Amino acid sequence: MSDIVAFRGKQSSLEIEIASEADFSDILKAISERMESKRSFFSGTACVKIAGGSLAEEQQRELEGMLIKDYGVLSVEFQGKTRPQIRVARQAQARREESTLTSELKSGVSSKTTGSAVFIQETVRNGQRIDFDGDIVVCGDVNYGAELVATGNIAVMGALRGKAHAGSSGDETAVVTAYRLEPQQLRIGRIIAIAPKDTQQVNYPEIARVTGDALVIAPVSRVIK
Amino acid sequence: MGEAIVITSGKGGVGKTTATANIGTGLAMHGHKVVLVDADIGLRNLDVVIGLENRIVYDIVDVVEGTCKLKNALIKDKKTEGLYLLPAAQTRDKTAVSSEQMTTLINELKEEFDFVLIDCPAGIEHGFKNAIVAADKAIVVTVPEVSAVRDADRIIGLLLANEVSYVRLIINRLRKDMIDAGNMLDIDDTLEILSVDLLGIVPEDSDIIRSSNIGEPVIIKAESPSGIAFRNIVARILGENVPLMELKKEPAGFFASIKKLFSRKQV
Repeated sequence: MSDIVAFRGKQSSLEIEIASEADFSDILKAISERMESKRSFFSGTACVKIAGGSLAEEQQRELEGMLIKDYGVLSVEFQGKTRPQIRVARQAQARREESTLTSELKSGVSSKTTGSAVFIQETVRNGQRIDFDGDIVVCGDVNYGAELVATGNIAVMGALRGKAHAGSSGDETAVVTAYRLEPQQLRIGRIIAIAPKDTQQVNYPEIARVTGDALVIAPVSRVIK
Repeated sequence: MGEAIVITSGKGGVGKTTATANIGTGLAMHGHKVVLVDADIGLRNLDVVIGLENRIVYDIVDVVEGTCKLKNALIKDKKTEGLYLLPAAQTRDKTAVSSEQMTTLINELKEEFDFVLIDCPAGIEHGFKNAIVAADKAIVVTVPEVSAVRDADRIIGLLLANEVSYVRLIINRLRKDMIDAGNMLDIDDTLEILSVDLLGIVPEDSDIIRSSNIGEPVIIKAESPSGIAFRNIVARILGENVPLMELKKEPAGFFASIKKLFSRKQV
């Protein structure tokens, strides 16, 4: 069995290498046997990277489902042609059951915690769209023509120049923050705001939220004390 | 084993073909064996820009369909030693070549040439996918206009998603006077948006149009500003560390400098 899959522990992730010629049912069996033997150890693993093998789309989904549902792995990444961000939406679905809780912070801003967030560590470019059931954090820019859609909050650690839709399932307590908040269009819940023609560029992080029936943008420093 | 570099942009008319012709000629002038592959099937231009139009017998479609051997379709440039062209077919369209055929073809060319430069068609459809499928590196050409930069951003995203991770940028047709007047995106703005490394800047130059029409790449001309810019780009591709060239405004005459004095007072 050990020839079919090889487990390798990395800093914060686990890498599983699959022999390319192995049969899919054997692969599943080999992985689950290994996971079963140290169930508590693997549970909560932040990221499992699958390398090698030539799994079809459905097979990837099945394997991913097994790792997430049965063994408590937080995310699964397939190395090769498919990039992680494309798989984000699907990951979200598997973790949908997680509870939603609302907490009141000191500042009086209610913040919703959906229990899941996706962390994108690259620039989201024109034509790319990230759709996530939860919060989205982008460590990079979101360029013109890119779209972020989150049922929760959106935070961009860079310039937000594209479109962002927070609270996409109707949650108007969601917020959008960015180091440079210069979006083409901003949506929170059902409220849509378009960037005014002559906006002055500012050099500090801003936060957008819904106040009454309007989308209000303010410096982050004024909200967080 | 050589390397395949695709020259692409997304938007049309920004200078992909001109850049391909000049970079290819420049690399060959450095003694490398270079083949230019025109992937713009149905709208070929590279042959015209490089002045080999009349010598086309077989083309890329003939090669993949087995009508002729690869070496029969390659046209040797008589002006520049070591430079070859694999022309596109004019009477067919992009679907005449599949991604697999393109990969096989480019790999075969890489066996024999030091550099395989692929001139990519505009757009992001089949032709684009074919052009990038076998590329090791990509050079994205843009002009300092909002629409071109946005298309370049889209293209860079697609290149990265297709595992072409080495991407460099050429900003073409830059006009110093327009940037100074605030009417054109400047270099820093463009680089900030695209977040890729700059390979070079090519100033707007009427020599380009003239040289394209006579089929002689501008890089051959010693004194032309765009020619110098392309020579610097080629040197950078070959690993030399060449500083960005200083962009000059048109030489100011006596009256112009007086006018400048006055206008400065008003500010």
